[in-house]
Amino acid sequence: MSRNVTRKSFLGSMAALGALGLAACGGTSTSGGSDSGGSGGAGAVEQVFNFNLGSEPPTANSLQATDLFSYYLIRPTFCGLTRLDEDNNVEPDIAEGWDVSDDLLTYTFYLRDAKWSNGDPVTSNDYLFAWSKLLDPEYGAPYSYIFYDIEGAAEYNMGEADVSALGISAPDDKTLEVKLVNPIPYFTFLCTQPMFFPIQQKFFEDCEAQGENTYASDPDKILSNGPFMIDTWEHNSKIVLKKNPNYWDVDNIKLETVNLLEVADNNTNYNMFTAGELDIASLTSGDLEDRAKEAGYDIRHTSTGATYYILLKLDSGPLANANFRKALAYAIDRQSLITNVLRSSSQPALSFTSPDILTSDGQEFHDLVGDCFKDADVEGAKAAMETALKELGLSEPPTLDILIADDDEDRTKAAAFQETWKQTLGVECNISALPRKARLEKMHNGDYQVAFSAWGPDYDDPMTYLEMFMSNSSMNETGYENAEFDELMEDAKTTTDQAKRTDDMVQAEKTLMSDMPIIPLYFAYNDMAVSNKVEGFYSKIFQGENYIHAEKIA
Amino acid sequence: MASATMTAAQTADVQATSGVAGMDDAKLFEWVGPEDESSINGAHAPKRNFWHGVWTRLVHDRAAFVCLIALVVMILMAIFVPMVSPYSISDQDFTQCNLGFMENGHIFGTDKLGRDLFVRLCFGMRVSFIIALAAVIVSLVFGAAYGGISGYFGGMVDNVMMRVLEVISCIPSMIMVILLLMVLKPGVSTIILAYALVGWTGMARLVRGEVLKLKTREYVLASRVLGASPSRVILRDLLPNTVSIILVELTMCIPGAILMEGFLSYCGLGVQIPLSSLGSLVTDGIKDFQGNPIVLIAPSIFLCLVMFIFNTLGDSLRDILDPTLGRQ
Amino acid sequence: MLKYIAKRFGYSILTLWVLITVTFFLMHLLPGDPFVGDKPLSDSVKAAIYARYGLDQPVYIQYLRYMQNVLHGDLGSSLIYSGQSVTNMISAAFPYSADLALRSLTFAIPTGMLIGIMAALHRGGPWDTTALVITALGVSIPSFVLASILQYYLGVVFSSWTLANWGFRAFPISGWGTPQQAILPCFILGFSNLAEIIRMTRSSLLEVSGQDYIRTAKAKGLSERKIVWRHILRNSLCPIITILGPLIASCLTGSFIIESIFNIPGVGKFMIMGVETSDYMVTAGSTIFYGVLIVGANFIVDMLYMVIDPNIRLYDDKEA
Repeated sequence: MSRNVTRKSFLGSMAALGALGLAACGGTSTSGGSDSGGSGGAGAVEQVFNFNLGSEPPTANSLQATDLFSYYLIRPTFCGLTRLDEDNNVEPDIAEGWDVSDDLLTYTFYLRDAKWSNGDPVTSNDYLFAWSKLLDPEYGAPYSYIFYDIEGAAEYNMGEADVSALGISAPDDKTLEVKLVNPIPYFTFLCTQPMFFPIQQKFFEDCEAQGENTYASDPDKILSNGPFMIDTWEHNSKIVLKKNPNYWDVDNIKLETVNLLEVADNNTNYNMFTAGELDIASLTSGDLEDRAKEAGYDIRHTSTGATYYILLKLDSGPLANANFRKALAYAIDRQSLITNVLRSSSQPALSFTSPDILTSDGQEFHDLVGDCFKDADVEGAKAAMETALKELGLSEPPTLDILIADDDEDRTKAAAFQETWKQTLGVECNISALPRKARLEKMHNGDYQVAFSAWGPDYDDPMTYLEMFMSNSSMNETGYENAEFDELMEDAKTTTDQAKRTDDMVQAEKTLMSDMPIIPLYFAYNDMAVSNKVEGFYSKIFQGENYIHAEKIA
Repeated sequence: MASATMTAAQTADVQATSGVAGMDDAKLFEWVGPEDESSINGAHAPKRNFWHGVWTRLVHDRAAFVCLIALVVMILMAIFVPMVSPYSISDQDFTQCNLGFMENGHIFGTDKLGRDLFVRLCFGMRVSFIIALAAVIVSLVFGAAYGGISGYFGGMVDNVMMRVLEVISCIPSMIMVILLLMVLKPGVSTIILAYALVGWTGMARLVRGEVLKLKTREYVLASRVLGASPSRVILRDLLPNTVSIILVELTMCIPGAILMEGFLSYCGLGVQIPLSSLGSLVTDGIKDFQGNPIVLIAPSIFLCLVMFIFNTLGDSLRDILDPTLGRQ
Repeated sequence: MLKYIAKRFGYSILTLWVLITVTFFLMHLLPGDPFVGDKPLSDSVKAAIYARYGLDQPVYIQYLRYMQNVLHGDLGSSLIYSGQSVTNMISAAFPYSADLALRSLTFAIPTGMLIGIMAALHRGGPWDTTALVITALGVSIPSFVLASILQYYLGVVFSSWTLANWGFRAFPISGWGTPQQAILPCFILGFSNLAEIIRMTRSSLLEVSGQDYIRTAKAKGLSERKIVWRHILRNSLCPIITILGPLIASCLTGSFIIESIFNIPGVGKFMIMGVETSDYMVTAGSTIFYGVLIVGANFIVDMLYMVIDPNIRLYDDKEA
């Protein structure tokens, strides 16, 4: 998943899943509510789910989507070779089964008989086409880098080789063969993610013939093979999904209609939930959580898997000094911030990789790494600061510029850190808030000193967290370069010995933390209230809010 | 209030001026004396100071008087409270978050970071007053100058200047301000600049209207006869007589400036952290008030009071200075 | 008279042209590349995207192309919502904003005039006090404060109570479509305009009442009613017309906040979205759209003014 996944967007999407049924009693529901859905599954209960996305999804094109909102539209309407169950284990989806070669480099997928929403069969060419298109250098798809473990992918995408160099082939309609260059243990996991979803070539080309970017811009320009299809799409207002009768597993889907709303205001969102117009509400503030508790709603705390951290530009003045960075890190009181100010159920992060991640040999990676430093270590911070000032040859603490996003949570955190660093270390900070795009651009260009960021995992392996700190990674925004770290990571990428792999990554993370190029803050959790009229809904890291197998019971 | 001041020096430069209807007569006049100024004024009764009269009437207007007192109190609070309070505007205490009215030694409670709301409110008033005053004064200077020049010269100059004015004032100001603030760096000076760029049009129109009315008066004619340059006529004769209008407009503009600052804060374009302004406090309050109402109630009350005070004062001033003053 | 119309029309067009140009160039000064995503893009990928949207041309060519398109009514395609035409999106959003604005004006104008007239005719009475209170509140309370407070106390607290006791929600808190949903948003939007209208009506009426010709009418023995109807009202309408332009403008711009709080998919919400995502085309398109509306409204007001006030017709050309 992408960096800069904000709590708000997570929660927004959570809320969207909520609105399952305005249903039964009272309430003059308005257009904010649900439509009278289709025929009922369970008795007379309308199987309508109302969920708040929070914002208009920019696109429903799985090749172009990078953000959460688009995924909330794409995940229920498409399915890939594999999918995740409730415990995030990989299970078959379109692919009935698969074979893996001994060197872990060749995967052969066997597709079942599945159909698109127009009745056409799903073929292996649909995957070949979609993945090739995504890697096409002229198409400019943003998520191409995640395919680079496939043979020929990096070369093709950078324009150095031809599409024929790609290690993907479709020997027949029901077989897909993929060759990798690295024996990554998480390839089938990757196949569960939206960028790996198939697209029917003929349909796509017909749409593009009508005009550029026409594919997926409206309900009649999308072909779905997933549990739902888009029925109506009122831009900036509401999207209605209906059950897809051609879905291969349609018998297990109870919901008939899903209403995806776009309510941006958090308070309005919660108010709609209490009014029964939404089935899920994200509790974005401690106050909302108190009210939800009082009202007796079912409150769930789920880990998002995202680590929120402070990004430091290492070549910018005093930040080049490791002790200075450590001083900044030790001074922050994470627990107090989370409990009293943010009032969420997030956990303080004293290392980088999220506790939800398991190693390829099934161990809890976070436990192996342990806590790398102390939270709210004022003494340690002051001592580190003293050393840093001596090493830098400064008589006074320097000032820093903090770059934040234009939202409430960032402002609160920035104000808190500004004050903490001033009181404990004497470091003054200037805060500048920019709208999302402008800020991302500055960060990509390295035009910042201190910034806030978050990293959500793309797959269930510590590699997704640590990979970006390699000196040759395109995701490396701090400029961090450590030969020892690089060596450990290279070994982890190429070895087939899983125990060694785990050990390499543990050492790598410890090295990372002793250099502190970034300051970990907390492992983000989501708090949400779920209507007691809904059953079978769950929210999980890697899947987000999953209502696909939910049903309304009242 | 008409006063044609003449000094011996002015007699020296006689200039024929033209371009304004009825001003051709200037050539027909010639100063004949006396040379000594005091003998002219000495013949009159002592002039009653106009502003003294205004002040008396203002004070007697009960509503305006109360408002004036309230304003003075607020200004004193804004100046002194941040200086004497045990809390600074940025002092955070995470164990004291979200306190209510008069809890734990915080008069208006605390916000979600444990900062004292009372001292932030007083500081916020300081910032809002400064922003409003500066914004209005800048727009006054530019607007009055623009209107004065346009009205005085008339003809083609007036035409062109007025058309430019119309075009500029048609651009939705809120949108322009937002766009400007996105291009420039947010902060107090940017807000002032942005407001000045879009807020001067009202003043310009008003001043132009008055100048058009006044320039046909005899004292202006007399000045021109004596050879005063256009800038002198505008500055010494015309503009001082528009002061009452300018003052009323000023007072009425301040609430608008404060409101704009509030709106900008709501859009995220307000003052820098950790400073506070009335607008930013209200904005923060809106986000958090469902848990702790005072974070919205207190700043809102103060904001509304300030707006109300300036509106009432403006109304009273307008009634006093010129009861027939209508809006264009 | 035709000259007057032509002149005003010409100025309107000029204003629009300046507006479009200024907006276009401001857009390009805005920091923020709309295609920056969460992951950095490689140069070739970026070049492909830019070419797709025509952003690789020099600025003046983009400007000319843009002007050309605008004249044909095409405001471009959104950069973020790939493929969506800005014009289409605005046409979809506009009915909501228009509906909201019209309803609030329908509420504000008659109510305001009524209160203003009664306040002026019966000075010092209850009407006058009401007018005073509303005016004071209207100018003091910003719309976003009012909206947040009312939405919570009426839309949540009160409505939960009515739901529990009477089986229905008194005030829906979001959406648009039923009359019930329109109550809160229209009221809030209309409220600040109400204050302005009351004030204008009242002072204009008072001014006219003090005129000599009214006194003459009274002296002539005309009944109170006739005086009010035939003389006072007609002559006080002028100033009301003059503020119609700014009133419409304020309704349109005031709708931003109301739309976002009450989740009404109008043009205001649309434009804010464009600003937040650095989507040049959307922001520019909405700004131009608003500009056209406001300039158009002012032009119509000028025409109305011309009909009502003969002075304009006669003396405008001689304006010094």
